[in-house]
Amino acid sequence: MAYVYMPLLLSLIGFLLVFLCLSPYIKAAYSVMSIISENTAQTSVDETEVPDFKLENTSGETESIPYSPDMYPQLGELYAQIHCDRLGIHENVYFGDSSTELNKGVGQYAGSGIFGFGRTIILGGHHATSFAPLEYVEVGDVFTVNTSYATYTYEVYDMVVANEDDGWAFGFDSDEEIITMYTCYPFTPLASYSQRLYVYARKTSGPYLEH
Amino acid sequence: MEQKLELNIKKNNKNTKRRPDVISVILSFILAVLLAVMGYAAGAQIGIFRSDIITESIDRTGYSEKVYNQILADSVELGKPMMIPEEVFQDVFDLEKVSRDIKAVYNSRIANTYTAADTEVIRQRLKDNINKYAKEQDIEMGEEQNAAVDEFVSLIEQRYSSGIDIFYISYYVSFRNMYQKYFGILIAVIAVLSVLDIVITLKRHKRKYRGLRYITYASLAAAIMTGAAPAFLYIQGKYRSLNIKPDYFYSMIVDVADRSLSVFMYVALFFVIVSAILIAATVVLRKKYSAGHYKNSASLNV
Repeated sequence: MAYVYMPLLLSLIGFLLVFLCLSPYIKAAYSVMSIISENTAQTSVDETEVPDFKLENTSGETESIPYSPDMYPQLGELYAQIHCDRLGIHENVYFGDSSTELNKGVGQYAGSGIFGFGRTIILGGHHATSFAPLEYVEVGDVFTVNTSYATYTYEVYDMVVANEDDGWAFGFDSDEEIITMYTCYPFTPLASYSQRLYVYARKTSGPYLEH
Repeated sequence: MEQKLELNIKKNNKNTKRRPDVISVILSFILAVLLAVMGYAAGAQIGIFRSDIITESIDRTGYSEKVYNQILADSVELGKPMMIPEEVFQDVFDLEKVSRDIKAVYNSRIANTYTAADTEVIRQRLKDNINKYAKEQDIEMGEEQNAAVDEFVSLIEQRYSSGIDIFYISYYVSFRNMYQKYFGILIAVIAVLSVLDIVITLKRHKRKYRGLRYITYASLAAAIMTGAAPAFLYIQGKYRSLNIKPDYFYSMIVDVADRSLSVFMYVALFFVIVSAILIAATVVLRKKYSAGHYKNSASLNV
């Protein structure tokens, strides 16, 4: 029996000593491991479930609707769809314009206003994928944007080619609500792409968000 | 006279209780701690800090293939803004080269002579493929296009080099180097102290098998201390729920952790075997002593 209780007693004393001396470090290590092993909250909406943006009760005829904080999207969130039947553009719009969003569809610059805020909205897309049809855009083309709270239409009135560093080209100084769609230029492969095509479209219908 | 003989035999009966010697218990505890530290040091040396453990896990978890697929996918993604199709990246690099380069870079880091992967052949092949694609598409490759292609190819080379290098390997290498520096000294010091402890313990007891018992207690305690914590971690598996990305790196880390923890359990098993041998030796010595003592007692009482 001594071969059982003596080693157990010795090892218990040993573990106790280690715990007393190293307990702050053991607790810290466990805290770090708990943080690293927690499932990180998803910041982007599950893409397998695309929200239904076609709302019959907000077809754009209402002049204004009250703004609610729920309307404001989270970074990376799929919160709208943009269409242009003539050009064949039917893309998801994500809030944010990092490579993650641009690889999935059209990305909105998070520093610009959301649809209905009465401010300039900057939308970016790859010239090889989501915004490839912009190569054939013309003045007068109509873009429809469906969000969860309303539907908006925008008509193209101008387009310009400028350098990627030209901040004026984004149209932040506009008095009315416009969307500025931009993409790499030219639309040919193996170019340097230091320029951008900017397409400007003003709002023609859709409720103003009272805020 | 026969009564006296009986009394003497009763005194030597193994059921007679003896109080444990406090000094011997303390010496046994000290020896247990020393052996446990030696066990952990040896376990780390032949486990987590063994030079081959990561390359073995690379082979076991299919790490190279996953890195190859990831680099290829990332290269195709990087090529999209330039409208470069996927077929341009065919044969630029293959799985064999990726696997070879991963191990070569890792081994160079372990040897403290970091050598980057050779990307010259990747550069040449990619440029050739792009030029061939441009010819097929009747694209005129002027100065601007060539500059853009050079920049793009450099980007792919950088992506390849970073993909080949194992994440956080520099931290592992610096820990390993620090450990290797002090391992020899640590083992030597512990060995000397352990031998000293054993000698003192044995010298304290006239009947050596009693001293050997305390050494056996220490060995068994060392087995428990060396094996219990790693076994607990291995069974509980908290490290398997760490949120580590990318997935192929996570698989490799978990494999390395599993095998490193197993090594400590094998060390504990070694201590158990040593204890079994010591117990056998104790029994033999005790029997020898008892036989010799009865003989002497019997001859005195006749």
